[in-house]
Amino acid sequence: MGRHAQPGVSWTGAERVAILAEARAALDCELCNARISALSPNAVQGVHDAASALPAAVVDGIHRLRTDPQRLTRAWFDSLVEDQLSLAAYAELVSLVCTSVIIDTQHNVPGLPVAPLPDPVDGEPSGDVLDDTVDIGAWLPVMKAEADLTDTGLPSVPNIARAMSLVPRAAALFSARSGHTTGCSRFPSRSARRRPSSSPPGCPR
Amino acid sequence: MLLRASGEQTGTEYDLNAVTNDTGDVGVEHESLLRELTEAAIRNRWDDLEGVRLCAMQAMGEQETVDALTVAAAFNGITRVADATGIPLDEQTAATTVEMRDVTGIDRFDYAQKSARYSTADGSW
Repeated sequence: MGRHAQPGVSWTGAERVAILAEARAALDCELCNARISALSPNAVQGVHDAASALPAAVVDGIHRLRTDPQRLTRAWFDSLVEDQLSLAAYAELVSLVCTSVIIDTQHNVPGLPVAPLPDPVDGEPSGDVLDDTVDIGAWLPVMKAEADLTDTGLPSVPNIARAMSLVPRAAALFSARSGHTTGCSRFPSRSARRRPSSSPPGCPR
Repeated sequence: MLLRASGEQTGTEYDLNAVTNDTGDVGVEHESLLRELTEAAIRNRWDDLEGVRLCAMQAMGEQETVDALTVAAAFNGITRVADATGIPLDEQTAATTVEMRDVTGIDRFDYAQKSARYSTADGSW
């Protein structure tokens, strides 16, 4: 999990490791467990059992993504990126949580303990995001891609491989963990440019 | 979709309706064990998984069991990315899977439909 501990695009190494810690903590969170049991996740309000000093809205996003992802909605996403997180910070967070889920599950299924969290690496977030994006109806803008097919009739660059391509490093991190399964290994590289950051206090933009 | 493509390649007919309905059989060898392995892995039922894993290794073999669990682990993250980004189905895939999506009922996982289903009446969450 060494790559997770390095400074990212919107998050520092320490914040990225904190995101991993929250993803694990979500499994034992009383609020999350109550929400899973509820007919609607929004019917249950409360405070998460947090494992970090990340802002409450970020903790909520991580816990929902870890424990109840199938009930995430566009309205929830819109509210989060409207005043809490930039699109790039959100994409990077999704990549971190989802790769950590894969890694932890790979440890869990043969009965192994999960790997210890890595020590954060010092440094500043790079701010590198993809400039040349397109709206395909997803919540995030994605990179452009050819619509050619493989011999199985499936796209050579499936949409799922483009889902986090706004932040190429986030997509690459995820591709390294899932590529053999989805065709994400064919994720094309694109140059990214640095965008100025304008985060609200406590939240990366 | 890969199962459907695989069936076309080998001339095998699968009952895809059973993918989302556990009362029938898809027609895949060891599918009951595969279902149990997957369910236990993605629902964090590690105590259950230990027993199922042993049964699977005996019935299917060690390598096949590891392969199945590796795929389950990967999709435990992949589906989350889809859920968290509202990524739409690929255009070509959508065009060629109309019947299959209707038969299996997986259109109910469409992100616009889900957003409407789980959002409150005033549009908040």
